Amino acid sequence: MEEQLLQMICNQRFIKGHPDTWLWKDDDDEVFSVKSAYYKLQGNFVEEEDKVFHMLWNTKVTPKAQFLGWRISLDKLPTKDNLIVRGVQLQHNLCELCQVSAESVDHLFSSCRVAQKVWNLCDNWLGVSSVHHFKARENFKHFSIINLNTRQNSIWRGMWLAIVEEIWKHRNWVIFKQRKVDPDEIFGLAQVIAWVWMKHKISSVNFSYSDWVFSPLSCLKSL
Amino acid sequence: MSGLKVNFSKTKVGGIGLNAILIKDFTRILNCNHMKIPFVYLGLPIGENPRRKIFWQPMVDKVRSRLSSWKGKLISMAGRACLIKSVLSALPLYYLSFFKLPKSVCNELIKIQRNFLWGWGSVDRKIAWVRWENICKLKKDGGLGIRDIGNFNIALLAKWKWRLGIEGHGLWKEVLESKYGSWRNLNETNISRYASRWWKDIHKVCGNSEHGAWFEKCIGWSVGEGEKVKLWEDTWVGDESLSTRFPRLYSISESKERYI
Repeated sequence: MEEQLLQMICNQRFIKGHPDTWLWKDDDDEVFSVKSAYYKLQGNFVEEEDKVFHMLWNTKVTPKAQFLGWRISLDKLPTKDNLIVRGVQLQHNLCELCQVSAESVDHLFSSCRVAQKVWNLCDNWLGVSSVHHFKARENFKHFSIINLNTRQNSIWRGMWLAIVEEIWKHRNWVIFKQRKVDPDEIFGLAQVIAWVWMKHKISSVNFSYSDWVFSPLSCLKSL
Repeated sequence: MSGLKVNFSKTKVGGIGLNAILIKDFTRILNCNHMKIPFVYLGLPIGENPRRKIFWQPMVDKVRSRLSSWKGKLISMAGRACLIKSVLSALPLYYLSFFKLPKSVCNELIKIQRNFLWGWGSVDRKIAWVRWENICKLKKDGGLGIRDIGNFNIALLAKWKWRLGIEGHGLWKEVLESKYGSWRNLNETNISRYASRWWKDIHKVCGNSEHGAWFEKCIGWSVGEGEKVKLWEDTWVGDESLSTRFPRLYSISESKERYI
């Protein structure tokens, strides 16, 4: 045991001529910072493997749209299934867009017939065909185009947020303003706001709205 | 010299543990006012009890007025989250870096933030959809990155212990060291009941107490001359102290307290 102790002491480095000081182990430069102490206290969270939130906050859209995306990813939106769980009295739990299935985040933004129609319009616009995941969050994650780079794809994900924002808006209009629902209108408005967001958030945008509508891919590639 | 002169009519004289009559004499000689405890020094109230709710009331009121519901109605949730961050990082920081927030006030502040975020009015209650602790996670971990005010307060207070351990000089440090010895006093399980409330609070959040142990786990030693490190009791080699690692050798050591 003594040898072990001596061994340990001998292996330790002593800095001659310096006073003893503390090291803060939690930080790279070994100096205390309130920030690193705070994170220590908050505990280490398991990092999201799928990076969905990283993708979300990296989009170039309005914070409002990002917050909607955030609430969709967490399934914390006042959809009917969530309202019922929290004890809100409703007349029925059917989706207002299709009047067929129960309303939930995954239904409303993915598997609903109206939503499917909108996503198909989006595919046709690009000239591709893709399979849409029935979970809204997965749908967002896989919303990318193969021959675009990372930055261009994170801009392209703004279109996803534009579509869900329009779906959500129309769902609320149907409920509160008794409006009729029209997938073409939803998609058209999403195209507009996606373009407006890009125009305002990205300085290198030099294509017009009609360029965007007629050839979205070459517009994205120019960024 | 800048020609700055002391304005005696704005100056106050106070004494700690001194006879009131003596201080009266001083004020007469210096032609200035008598300072009574509690008083405000550098913007911090001194001598009042920060463990009482009333001490924090001005700050709570200020936060509440900044985060009032009529303002929240006009902006989106994203804007409200942003406003919460800015109000919290500015307003109460100065207090929080010196005083420990009592649990009840902490909860009240969180309540104000939560209600504001989810858009509660004075009459209509709304659903808080996401738990507060999840809101406080980082954005990449699915939160909004709003600071948890309780833990932030503790992190700010822990800085005092760090400064006590590592900083060279300072009157504040000399005063504390003459009263309590050194930061080592914080690592005792029980500290004197004559210690000040502030010292007791520091002990509570980052000393050897139920919730304070996290601090020592983050501290390591860079050993130089070895004049400050305790051979057996400090964790200066490996991940634990030598007394924990070699308890039998420690038990027969004749100089358990010695420095390297």
